[in-house]
Amino acid sequence: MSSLPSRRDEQSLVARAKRDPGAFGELYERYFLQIYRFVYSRIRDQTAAEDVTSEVFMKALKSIGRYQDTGKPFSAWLYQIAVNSVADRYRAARPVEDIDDQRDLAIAGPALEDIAAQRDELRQIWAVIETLPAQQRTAMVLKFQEDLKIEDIAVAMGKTPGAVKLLIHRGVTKVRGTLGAPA
Amino acid sequence: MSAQRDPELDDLFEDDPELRQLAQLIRARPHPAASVEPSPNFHSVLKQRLMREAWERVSQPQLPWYRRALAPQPLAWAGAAVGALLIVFAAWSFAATPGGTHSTVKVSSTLSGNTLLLSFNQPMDTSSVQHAVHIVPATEVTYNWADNQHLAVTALHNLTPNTQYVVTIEKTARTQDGQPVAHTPPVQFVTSPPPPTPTPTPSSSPSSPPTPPITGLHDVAPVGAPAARWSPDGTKIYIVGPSGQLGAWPTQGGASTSVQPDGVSLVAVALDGAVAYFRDGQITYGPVTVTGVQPIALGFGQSGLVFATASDVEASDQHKLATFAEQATSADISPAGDRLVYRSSSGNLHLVNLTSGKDSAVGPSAGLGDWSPDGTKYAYQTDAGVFVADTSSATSSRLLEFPGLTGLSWSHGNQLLLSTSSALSLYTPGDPAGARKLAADQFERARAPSWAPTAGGYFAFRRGGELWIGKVSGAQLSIGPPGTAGPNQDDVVNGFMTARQNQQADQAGAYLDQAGKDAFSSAGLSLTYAGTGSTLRYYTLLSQSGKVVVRLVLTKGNAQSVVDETLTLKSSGGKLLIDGVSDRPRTSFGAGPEIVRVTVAGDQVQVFFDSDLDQSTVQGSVTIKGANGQAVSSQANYDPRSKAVLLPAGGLSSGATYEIAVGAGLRDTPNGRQAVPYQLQFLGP
Repeated sequence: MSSLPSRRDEQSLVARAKRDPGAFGELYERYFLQIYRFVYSRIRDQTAAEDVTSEVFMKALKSIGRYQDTGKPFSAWLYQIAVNSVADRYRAARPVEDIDDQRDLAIAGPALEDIAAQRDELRQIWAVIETLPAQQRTAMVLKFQEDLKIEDIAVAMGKTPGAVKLLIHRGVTKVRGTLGAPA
Repeated sequence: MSAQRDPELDDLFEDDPELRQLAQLIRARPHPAASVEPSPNFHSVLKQRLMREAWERVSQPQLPWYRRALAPQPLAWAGAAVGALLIVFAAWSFAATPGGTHSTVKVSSTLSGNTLLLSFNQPMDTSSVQHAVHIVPATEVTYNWADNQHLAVTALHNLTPNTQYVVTIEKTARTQDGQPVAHTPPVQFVTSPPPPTPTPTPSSSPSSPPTPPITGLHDVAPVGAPAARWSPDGTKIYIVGPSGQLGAWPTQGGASTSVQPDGVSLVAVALDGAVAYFRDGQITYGPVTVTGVQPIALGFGQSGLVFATASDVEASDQHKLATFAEQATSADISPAGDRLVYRSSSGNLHLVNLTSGKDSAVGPSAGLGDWSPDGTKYAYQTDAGVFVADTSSATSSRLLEFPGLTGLSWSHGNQLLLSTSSALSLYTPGDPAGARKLAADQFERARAPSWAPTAGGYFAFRRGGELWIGKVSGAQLSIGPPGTAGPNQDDVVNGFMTARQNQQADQAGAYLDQAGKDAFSSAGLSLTYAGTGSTLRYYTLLSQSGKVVVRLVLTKGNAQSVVDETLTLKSSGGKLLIDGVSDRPRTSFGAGPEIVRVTVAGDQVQVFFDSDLDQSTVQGSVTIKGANGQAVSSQANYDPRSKAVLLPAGGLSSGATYEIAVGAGLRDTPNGRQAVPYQLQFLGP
């Protein structure tokens, strides 16, 4: 994870970004790859991930005037948009099904990197995580890949911190159930 | 991913060591997507799209009607606010000359915050345009092209307030197909003055004063919801008890005097000591009664009683003085009764001029606060701390970051008493140590602090259901002896200069004593510039004990003339007036980096410039010299964010005369212009 800017710098930059395209450009530069990779981890398709990443930043641009600093990192807000955009993408494809029942939508089988991961015992962990229900998987990715705090994950997912803890607890328990206890 | 353990995971899996170990193991494994890259051009294409969208959003603002009506005309002066959104438009065109055939390149510009957005009507050669952009005063910028027709030029650091900027695209700019451009009229704009805040009170000692001791702390009486009010001389405080009983209590202890036995829900005390109160649906002020109203605040104007309801402000004859733009939940009438602030149901603070009836929204607030003693400013609470609103511009700025603020009071000596749930604190604007906690157990859960007007440091506060009174020893509660600097000095000068700007010679003259009038007359200086067709702006270069140096910039068309006036002030009959003036033209103004402000406080002199400076030229070019002309401090540091050169002042003698000297070795950046030598005298801290 790249080092994050100080809260004060970030607050100042976000405040400027409300009226200054250049400052919004700086925010984009800071968070682009993070958001893209998160979206990709959920969608597993480059074209779709790029579409959703575009949506995320466009929505952020349109809404930044209403953004209010609540003491949480700006990235938590971006992740919230990303989580919702990914969910919208799934809903658009399968409007009837519950997102928790869905698995990888964009491609039928495991991604190429996951096939490679099968050869790597340690990387099998993520292959298992990818089979979890969407909400658990999102919480796991935000915690273990994006290194967010539980409170920030709660913001991003629109849940309480307690619910996020439950999702992570269940996810890790499921990984143990599938792979066994760590050596 | 951090190699350190995540304590959140340890907590979450506290009861299951195996899961805890697995969680930390997962954390240490890179996700397959952790190194995935988007397609090669995706990042830049999306950025271009975003920047174009951002540009369009900013350049097509939804301005309220009054802002649209006041928008400057193309190529006219453009105003810009520093720290606040203010959009202006300018447009111009210039000829491109491709081998004798002329096509016109049109450019429009929009200023938003620190960004100037340029829009060309045809594709441009981006590199040549960037090299052709020239800004005076020198300003380091970044360039962001949304596409080859839309350029955002963003200053790296805040634009200097109250400064005229000129942006030129020089002839070296080319269109995309290589056509040179013939002529580019410059864009000009003037940034707004910074919102006035209480001026730092010069310290007589370089070290911070200790926390003042508290004496005479005592519990006075049970108190109800209405705010207690001091008598004008501070010898009594009027307290409304839990049942609405209104009584007057001596500040230094003693028996109370009952005014009303019950039912009072508002009280105010006039300058003559007469009391107004609201009881049983009626406002009573001596023989005056007003019925059928629901006041939320009482006060006194020149014509007597005024009161605010949730929707308006009325005089005692129920003549409406102003109608609120939003529903008011609480209000505070200024000491002179000519202004009012209210907090709306949506949490916004509004400022209302009771002479004109104008209602100006200032911004979000967490609660009301207190008027400055002269009624020109209002300090109030926000979630971020103490903000100060200026009544003339209806703008505000943060005075102090102070989380958890629950109440404040502004003394006649320019000190703020601040309450949080755990303490009372004293803050002197400009004190680098910030707010100082007042040490007393009784201050825990204290709220609604209130300075006594003139009574030697007494203050009241609520705690639990009781009203308490205490005394701060050494509090600055008066204007001070002749020659003493302080906020009143700056208030006097600002009032004087504002009257001059408004061509109000009579009002300006009221700030001069006879010696001041004679000095202006004998120096041949005009109080106003009526009939010259010029506009005047000014800024304070230096404000020290009894002396203020003001720079006047007169502008007519593209021409500017600049003069520095040194005003001396003296207290006469308890009133601070200007009693002398000398002037010094600054004919070379704008030829290089210019000083815009010097502050002398504690162990440091700060010299603020209008331009970004070439850091390598600062050392030795900005110095402090003693009376003998010898440099006493050549050590200079540069803070690019504030464009300030910082000079140590620890070795300077208090009250001795020194000089800030700017030498020709100083250069701005990126323009590389040399400073025109300049000297400014000041007194040691």
